[in-house]
Amino acid sequence: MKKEVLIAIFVGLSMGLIITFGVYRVKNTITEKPITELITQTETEATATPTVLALHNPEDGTIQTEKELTVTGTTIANTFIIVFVNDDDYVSTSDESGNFAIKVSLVDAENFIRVHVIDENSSAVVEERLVVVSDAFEKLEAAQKELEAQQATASAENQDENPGETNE
Amino acid sequence: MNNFKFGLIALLFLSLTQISIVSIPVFAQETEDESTQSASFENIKKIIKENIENSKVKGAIDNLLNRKVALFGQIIRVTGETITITNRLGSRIIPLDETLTITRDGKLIKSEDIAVENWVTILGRIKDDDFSPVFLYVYTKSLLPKPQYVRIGTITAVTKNSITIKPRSDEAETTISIVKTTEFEDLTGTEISFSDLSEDLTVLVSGYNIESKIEASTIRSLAPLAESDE
Repeated sequence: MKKEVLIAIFVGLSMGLIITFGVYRVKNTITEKPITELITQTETEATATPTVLALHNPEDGTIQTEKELTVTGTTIANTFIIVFVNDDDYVSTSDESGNFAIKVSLVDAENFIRVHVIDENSSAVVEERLVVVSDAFEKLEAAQKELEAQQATASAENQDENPGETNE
Repeated sequence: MNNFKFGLIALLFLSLTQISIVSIPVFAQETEDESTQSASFENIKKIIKENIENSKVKGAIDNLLNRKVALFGQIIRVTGETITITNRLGSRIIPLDETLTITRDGKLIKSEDIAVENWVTILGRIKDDDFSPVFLYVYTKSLLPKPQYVRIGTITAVTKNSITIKPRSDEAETTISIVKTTEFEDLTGTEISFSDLSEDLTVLVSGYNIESKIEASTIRSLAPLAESDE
């Protein structure tokens, strides 16, 4: 009798442990995040570090024909932004999210754009961009197209006059 | 005793079966998630491929691949086939070839007419990470704007054509010259007059540093202005 009781107790404990372990494994499998999510979360945390000034537009070295430009970026919230375009300045502020969008006028040819962000302690950060207002490429492409059209016309006329000849 | 043994075996079998039954849906769920994800990725790939063949996207990609870019800098070296320019981004070697259009003061010139210390603006294309210049504009003087000055400080003195401010940084007091083109603004950016500025007023000053003399372009009050007595 004593022996049977001991066996029963041992079996009961074993079953309990097995079931408990099984439930534990199932619970971990359901709540465990996929590795890709963990990597994404880590990357998001890494990139969540705030930067003082991130200038989105314009890109450095931009060539355009328009004489207006909207300078956009992100910086500290509710802070002053001063945009210099050559020797003209534009004073504005960033919004509560730190975003700003400032419309500026450009001149023909080179426009040196400097964006100053200044905080309460008068510490400033500067980002610089070059924007060139020029239609040189458009004129060049138009001239090339006209030349190609003229060459095509001349070639067609040549073939009409001498149908037997083939171009080498 | 045999009955007891049989009962023990049955109990063990039941407990193992219970654990298996619970585990199988979990693994089945993972497999379903993976198969759903891979189907989504395949769909996305298909959509992207279709769009890439779309001429509008192709055109945009062509623009990106043949991006037009401008450079500006001062020439530090000239050879028969290249020039080396320097700017805030460092030094760069620019190839000179027969197709390059070189102008100075609106007139075409030859590459032999380019000299060290000239300033140049170069318009070109970037293709396969290589910069190919197309237009080169030569200048004898720098086009860079005047050094800029931006500070927040408190006015400590006001004279007829200047103010003195104590910047919030550790800098010493600085005298700011008022010129004809200086603009004055209140807290909201509305135009005000020079006479509205007074001592102890906190202001934002933006201007230029010309031979150690600061000229104000814009002075903005950062505090509400005192109402004038009528």
